[in-house]
Amino acid sequence: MILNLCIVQTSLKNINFVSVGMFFIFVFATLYITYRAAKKTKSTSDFYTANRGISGFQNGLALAGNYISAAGFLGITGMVALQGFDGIIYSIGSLVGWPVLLFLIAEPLRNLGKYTFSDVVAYRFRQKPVLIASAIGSLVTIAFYLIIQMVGGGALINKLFGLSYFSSVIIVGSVMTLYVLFGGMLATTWVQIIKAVLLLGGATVIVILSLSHFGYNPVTMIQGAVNRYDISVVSPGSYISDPWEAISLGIALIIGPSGLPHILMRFYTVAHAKAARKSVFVATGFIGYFLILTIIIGYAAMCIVGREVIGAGEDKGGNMAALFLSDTTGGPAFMGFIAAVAFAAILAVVVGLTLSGASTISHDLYVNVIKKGKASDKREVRVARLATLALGILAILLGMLFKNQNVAFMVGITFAVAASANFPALILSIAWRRFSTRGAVYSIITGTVLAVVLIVLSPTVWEELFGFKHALFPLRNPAIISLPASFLAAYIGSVTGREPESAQKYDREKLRTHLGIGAY
Amino acid sequence: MRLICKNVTIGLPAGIGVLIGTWLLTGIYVVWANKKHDIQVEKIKKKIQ
Repeated sequence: MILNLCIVQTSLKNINFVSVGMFFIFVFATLYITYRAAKKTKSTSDFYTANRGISGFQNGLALAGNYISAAGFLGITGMVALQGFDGIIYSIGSLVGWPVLLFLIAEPLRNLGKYTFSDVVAYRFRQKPVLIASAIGSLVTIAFYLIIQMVGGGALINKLFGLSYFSSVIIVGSVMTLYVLFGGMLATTWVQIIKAVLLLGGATVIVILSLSHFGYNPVTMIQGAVNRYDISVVSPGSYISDPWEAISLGIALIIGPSGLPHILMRFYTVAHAKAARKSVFVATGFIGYFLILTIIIGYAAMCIVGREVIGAGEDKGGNMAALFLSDTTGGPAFMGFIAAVAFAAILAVVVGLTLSGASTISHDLYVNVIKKGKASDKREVRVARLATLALGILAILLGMLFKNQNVAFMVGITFAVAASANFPALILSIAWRRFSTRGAVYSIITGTVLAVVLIVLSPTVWEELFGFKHALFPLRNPAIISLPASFLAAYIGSVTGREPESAQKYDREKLRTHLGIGAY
Repeated sequence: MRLICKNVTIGLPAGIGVLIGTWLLTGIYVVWANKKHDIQVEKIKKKIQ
């Protein structure tokens, strides 16, 4: 009887005009709403100070929106659908980093009252070297994040319009570059809030529709999946069998969120430390709920749609599992809606990332380092435009390179890069008195370079992309080596390059970081 | 491999438990920080000023 619960329906091999129509209607509706909302926020008053009035709850929802990217949603559900139990590590792992962020970083960051990651790290130290190092760290993290969004967006267009993956990636990249060049800043708080509500709502509807096939009982659904395949779908070890790999991925997922520039940025926007605290609680609640949904959607896709369908076609990473499921359970119109929500969300993330990357290059590097603060606004804007174009081309190329990867897996290695590049410098500048300019630079450079090199030498790139026989580094996730190395580099740099001025600054800064004295 | 009922391993509810536990942990911290920690911080602030 349970066998019959798993109905195979393999529709949508070709383009479905209902889906495509719904897709366009909802993409434009979402873009219009965000445009209106962004305009409203802008006219109220200045971007940063206006955001000081964001309440803890609103900021929590915005944090959740910033964090649960559509690409992550597509990737995690696909991972669970194809890999079963081992895919769940991505669901669970995506939340466990948040208490770390709350206990160690959220409140001190808020009390410091700086706007960007570079500002916080550079506060105590000599500006120039730290700005260059932290710009490199941020840009590499942003590049990896862009790959995730390009692969997710590319697979989405590929499935919906039946175009080849390569032309899909070029379309996503071009749309995003044009949007940034001629549109401008839309990645404000309200955009993230709207995105969070749409994604949470869409995922909830998929779950209700799927569970209706199983009498609203998740256990029946999982039994259906076991009957369709075998007991391995609920047992560990099918995907991540090496314990070192599991530990490395775990480190990346736990520390990663505390090193993501676009998440850290959100703590400068609330009124006081209490609101920062509350916003993390709200965000963890929404993200946790969402991640539980991704587990159910993953298993539902496995049982109702089937692995043969999800893993077939051009998208080997299974990133379209949630779309197949929404098509089977809710029909082509519903799938068009989910695709539109996912695509609009991907666009919002990509635009935010490209903008912060472009401003790192134009503001931190060009104006402050190369021109030493003396450059006209016109030139700065021109450099920002050129940087946007360069980032767009880079994103397209990288998106093509990582074609067959699952998006959730890419999130894992991106978190490893973020954790190794940014976290040690950030936490040590808050907590260690003797931390110095040289220590910060050593730490950021070591973390970034080592993480990227180890990823290139890993089976994912060395064997699957370059086609060599044996990977020079056995693990797919580098965090277990690159994060401790980054801390070690910070220690060596600080011990060999003492800086009494920075220690003095720390004594004053400490009152502000931990007690909020002088914070506004 | 432990099964809690037919075909459902203990890992599934444990995983969902970790998600809920993470959320509760942040909740406990928020209550503690608001009720205890902030009061201590205020005391130190007064001593300094």
